[in-house]
Amino acid sequence: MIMVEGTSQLCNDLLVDPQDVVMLVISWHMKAATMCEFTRQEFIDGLQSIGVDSIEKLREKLPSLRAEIKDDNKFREIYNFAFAWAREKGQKSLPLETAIGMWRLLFAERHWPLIDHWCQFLQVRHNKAISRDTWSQLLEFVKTIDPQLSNYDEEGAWPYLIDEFVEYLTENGCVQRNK
Amino acid sequence: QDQTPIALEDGWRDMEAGIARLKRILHGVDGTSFTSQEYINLYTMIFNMCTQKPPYDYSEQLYKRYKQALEEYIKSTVLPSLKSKHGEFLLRELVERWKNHKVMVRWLTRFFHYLDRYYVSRKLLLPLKELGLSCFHDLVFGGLKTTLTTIVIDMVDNEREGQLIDRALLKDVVGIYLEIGQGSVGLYELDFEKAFCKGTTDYYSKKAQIWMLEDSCPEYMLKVEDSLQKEKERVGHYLHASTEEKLLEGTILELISWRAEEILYKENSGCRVLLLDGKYEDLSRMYRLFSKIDAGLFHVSKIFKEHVKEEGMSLLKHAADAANGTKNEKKEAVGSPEQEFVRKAIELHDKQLAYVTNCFQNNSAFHKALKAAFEDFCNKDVAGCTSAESLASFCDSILRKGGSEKLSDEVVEDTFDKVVTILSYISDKDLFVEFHRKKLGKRLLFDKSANNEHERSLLSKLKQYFGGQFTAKMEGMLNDVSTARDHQTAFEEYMRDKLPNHRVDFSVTVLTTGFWPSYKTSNINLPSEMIKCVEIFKDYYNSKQKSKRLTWIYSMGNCNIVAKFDAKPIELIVTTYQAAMLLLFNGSERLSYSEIVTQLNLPDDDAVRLLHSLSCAKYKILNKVPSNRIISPNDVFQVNHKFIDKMRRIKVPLPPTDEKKKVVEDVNKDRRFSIDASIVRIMKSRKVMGHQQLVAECVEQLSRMFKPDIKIIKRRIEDLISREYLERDLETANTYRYLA
Repeated sequence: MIMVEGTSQLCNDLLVDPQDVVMLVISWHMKAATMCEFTRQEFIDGLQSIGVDSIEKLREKLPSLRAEIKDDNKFREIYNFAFAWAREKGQKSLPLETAIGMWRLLFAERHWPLIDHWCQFLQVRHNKAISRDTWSQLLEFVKTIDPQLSNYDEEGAWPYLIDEFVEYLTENGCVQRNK
Repeated sequence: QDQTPIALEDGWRDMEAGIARLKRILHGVDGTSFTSQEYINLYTMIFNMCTQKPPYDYSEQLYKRYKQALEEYIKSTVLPSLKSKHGEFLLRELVERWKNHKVMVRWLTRFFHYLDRYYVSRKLLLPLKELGLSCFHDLVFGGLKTTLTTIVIDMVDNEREGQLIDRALLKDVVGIYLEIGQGSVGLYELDFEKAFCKGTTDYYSKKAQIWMLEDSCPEYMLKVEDSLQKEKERVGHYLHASTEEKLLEGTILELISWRAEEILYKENSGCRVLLLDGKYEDLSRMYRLFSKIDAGLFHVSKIFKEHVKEEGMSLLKHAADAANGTKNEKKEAVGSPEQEFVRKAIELHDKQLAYVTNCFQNNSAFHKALKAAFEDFCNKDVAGCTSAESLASFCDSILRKGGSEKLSDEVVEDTFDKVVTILSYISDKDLFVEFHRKKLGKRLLFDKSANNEHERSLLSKLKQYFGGQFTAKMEGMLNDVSTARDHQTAFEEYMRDKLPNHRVDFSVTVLTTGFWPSYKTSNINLPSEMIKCVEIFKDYYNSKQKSKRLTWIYSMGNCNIVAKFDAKPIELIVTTYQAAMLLLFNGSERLSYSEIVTQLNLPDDDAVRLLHSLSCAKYKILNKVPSNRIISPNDVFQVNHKFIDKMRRIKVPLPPTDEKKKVVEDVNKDRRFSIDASIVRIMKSRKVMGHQQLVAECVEQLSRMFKPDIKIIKRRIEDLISREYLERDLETANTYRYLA
């Protein structure tokens, strides 16, 4: 097993910051169960799926791995993978701090204008862990709803938290919704 | 018989003589009619002239001369006579001339009959009769008909104004229109009916304007009804039956349709006013009249709905004012403002239902309007209370002993029926049930239920209307109480046997968990006298029901104790807790607050309430130092030996804690379970369902008990997703799948 120190060592060897999003991409390839931990099998299978067999080759591959985020389908998979990966072992939901961190990381590469409002809203109004449903539905929200929320339907099946977010934005005048 | 053919002019001469004679008969100059011989002669003349061999068959000429004869007569005699007449006289003359013409045509067609048999049909010409009548039409009627119609309309308008007119004459004139049409009403409709109907609508248009200005709404409607009746009769007197529909249609249009809004909203006498003043007859008339026009009843029912709504809202306002003491409401109101509201709401319902039954012919639109109006205001708060709680309060006032109601059984039954009706309008029915259950519990445990039959009767009505789940728990409560009563004798015997010297009368009610509201228990230290009783019952109960465990709820017990004051002993009716507190003073003359709390093992809020009820309220059983009205931890208490009251037995009340919040909390908790269960039930049977549909069905399923908040349904769905009962469908947006 590669644990936290091992992961840290890996980052050093790859010359990347442990906070670099490429670590997420690599973990995704490895189908790692938990952040900062790799089983032997995960590690080997992952390297194979990336198509490298040495650290140097992996280092060379880094830019293209980073670019995978830009791909819509891969991003979706990586995004949804991130939830379980970032969770504490044995927990069902994701602690808020971790979730916000992950979101910032992910949406740094895929620009979402409302990311700051979202994080602020969560800290002010929610202050609880994030469920898987909310996590995955947020991606749908980001992808389908425009920043002015003109096509948001509150009668739809959006999770409660997202309904609240829309209310929060409307209350604070961040968007003008024509009801 | 002559073999030589008759010459046309010769034969015609004979015919002319016959025609001349006919004219004389018509004019009353010649008294006698044609003899058979004369008739046969004339007939035979025609016959011969038609059957002669060419060139002597004069059918064609005779046909022409038949027509000419009639035309000549019309031109020479009929037309001049008509020209000189006007108005009614013209009508009379025309009727007379028409009569004559018909007679003439009848005779002439007989004489010339042979033409009809062969010539007419062979040449496809008009039969003689029709030809004859059409002469009159073409030469006389055609030019006169407009004038005639105008005269008729004038006469009819006069009759409408109240004058007597010659109805028989009109009938005859109208008869001409019909007869001249020769079997079809086409001419009648075209030449007469159309103009007549227009004349009618003109007349009523003017009348409507005048009446609108001068009359109140009821007066106007009376005139309308009267007019419609008269027009209907008019048709019977002198018009063709087919005119009735068009005539009435036009009249209704002018008098009702175009004036509908003015009638309904007439100031000081319109529909709303009639409803307020209980004008049954006028409202019935309004219903009858407005049912004749499109959407007429819709407008009336709308006003009715608004009326009921406003009446309901004003009841709410009264209640709010009474609660605030802002208005000087006469103290005739019995009971709290909420109870009064329910009583008034029932009265209002009875009154408005009477309108629907008596005036609006039980029309479903009006039933709906009544329902909608009641659903609207019955779901608003009554002076700060929910309507559900108010209704439960009202029931409590009827069912408790010494309540504000002392009514006969019939009245009680009837009132309960009305309660069920009002409940049907309230959406939070489950809230009512919970309040009712709580109050029932109090009544039963403190022996405040006036009549067991009444309790059961109300429950059975609720069950009938809303289903068994509604009432099962409460029925269980009543059963527990009656079971306890049944066992009491046996228990008393047992107690006498085991504790022969114990002088405490003691009864226990065993409550089945789940039926009863949850009551809080505490570890209060009871006095030894009470402990003995409790232990004995435990023994008794164990000997009967080994497997069941008893949890004691002293907070709901009551107790009668005799207090020996200086003046006289008085029996105090108190709660068990109060009794326990008072009995402490059998051991010590004075006790401090903290001593009391420690010895009884009570939480502070209970202690404060109890001490207040015994030392700062109506009856000062205990003296408090300092003697203000606030219980503080530094207070010291002692028995008030000087206490006196003229009664020998008094109840020392302990004001109840406000349980409203708890009831609402409990109901909300139950609702979450109900919503979950409903969602799972629906999804289990459908497997896949869209969000909107799921929400709609869930609301529908639960509507019998309450109106669920859509937001809460959403949250429950999310909760069920995280508990893996459901998942979102990956392909279709806004759709869920059931996870087995």
